[in-house]
Parts: sequence; structure tokens; C-alpha cells
Amino acid sequence: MWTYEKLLQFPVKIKNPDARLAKVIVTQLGGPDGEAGAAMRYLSQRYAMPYNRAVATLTDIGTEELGHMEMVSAIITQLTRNLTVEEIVAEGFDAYFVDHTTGVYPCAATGEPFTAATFQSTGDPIADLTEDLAAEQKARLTYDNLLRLIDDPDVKKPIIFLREREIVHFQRFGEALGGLIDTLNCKNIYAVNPAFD
Amino acid sequence: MNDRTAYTLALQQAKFTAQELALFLDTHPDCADALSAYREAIYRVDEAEAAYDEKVGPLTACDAGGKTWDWIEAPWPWQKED
Repeated sequence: MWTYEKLLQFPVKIKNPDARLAKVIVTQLGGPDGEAGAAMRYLSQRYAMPYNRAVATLTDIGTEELGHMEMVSAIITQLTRNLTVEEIVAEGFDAYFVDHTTGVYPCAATGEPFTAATFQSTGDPIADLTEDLAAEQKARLTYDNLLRLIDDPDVKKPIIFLREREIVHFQRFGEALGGLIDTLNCKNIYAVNPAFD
Repeated sequence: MNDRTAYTLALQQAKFTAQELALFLDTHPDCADALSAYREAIYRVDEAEAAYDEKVGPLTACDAGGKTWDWIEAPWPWQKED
């Protein structure tokens, strides 16, 4: 089970609200490659792993992703403080505002609500870990795209930290996948599901 | 009941008691009786956790790491005991 710690993984202290940025950064909470999907993906996949190192890696990274949901939510909250109605309209936040005011809602930058349809839990550890490598790359490139849109250093710093975590997770998943493949029966040259039959 | 099962159950009971009192205190932060019961419950959690770490294994990654990284060792909580 889980216990909550009243602590962000990395500080988020944004002086200037900016609804335009909030509208795009929200995608890393509830979008196709966001932190909510990452957490649900890894914490769902770990049950099928026949390899302790991969179970531990998915558990620990899945848990860290829950902390990243909180960091992204903190960024959105701080970016949407004290906005006037004129700013909400001028900064293109009106469509989000009419549905959620300035509440934090997990959705994509393009407005689609969070969905489990963006990830898989196949029961095949090799397929799942291969998906996880792609997932970390997709999350990293989304942070790269966000950094192309952000000038404010207060917003950049936590986003750069989150981007770096995707790179480290990609590395760890690669090691977990490599280690798992090394444990396969030598006749299983096509790396067919080792967790079923 | 083997030792692992007994220490696990004792920790689950101690932690659930503390969790239930904490939840009550969230909406009754001025209740002195609940606060005193919570302090007692936390003391029992500490005792049960120390016993669990010694006899069963690390409860969290912070408790792990003797001679080897024992955090990764099975059984995981969802795996049935033999």
C-alpha cells in the first residue's frame, strides 16, 4: 500500500501566473504521455513480471510518477492563481475555465479527458517493458516541446527536472528488459511471453 | 500461522488503527481523545514496524539495503505464500 508524504519531489515556486502555459502543461498530467498514464501503466503492469528486478523497477517508477502528477498539478495551480477574466480569455484558457474554473483536471492539451486507452498492460513482460521504453521517450519529447514554449525560468526548472527523470527511467527500463531477456530459456529466441504457459 | 504471516498481520492491524484515527482527525482536528489514541496507535506502529523489518524484510525502500539490495526480493504483497 501507499503512504502520502507532504513534500514535492522537486520545488515548484512560480511567481507569475500564465494561463497559456497551464493549458499546455496540463497534458503532462492527463494527456496521452502524461504522468497519470505513466503511473497507471507501470503500477498495473508489475503484477505480470516473473522477474524481481522488473517488479521493483515498475513499483518504484510507478510510485515516483504519482509524485510527478503532484508536481505537474502544483505547476498548473500556481500558473492559474489570481487570473482576471480578461486574462483568461486573452490567454486562451476560457474553454478549460468554463468546464473546470481553475481546478486541476487530468486532460490533454487538446482537451480530451485522461483515459487508460493510451497505455497497455498485456500480461507479456517483454511487450510491456518495450512499451515502457517508448513511453519514457514520448514523455521526454513532450517535455522538450513544452520547453520550446516556456520562457519563465520558474516554470522551466521543474519541467527540466521532470524531463531528466524520463531519461533516467528509460535507462532503468532498458536494464530491466535486458536483464529479463537474459533469464529467458535459451530456446525462446523470439522472446515469446515467458509469463504464460 | 507462520512467523511472516503473524508479523504481517500485526503490522496491518497497527497501521490500520493509526490510519483510521488519522482519517477521523482530518475532520475532527480538535478531538483530544482521538489525538491521544492516535499517539498510542503510532507507538504501536513503530513497534510493529521494527519487528517486521527484523523478522520479515524491508517495509519500504528506506528500510532496505543490508549486505545486498534486499528490496527486490519476493514475495511481493500480492503473491500468495507457499
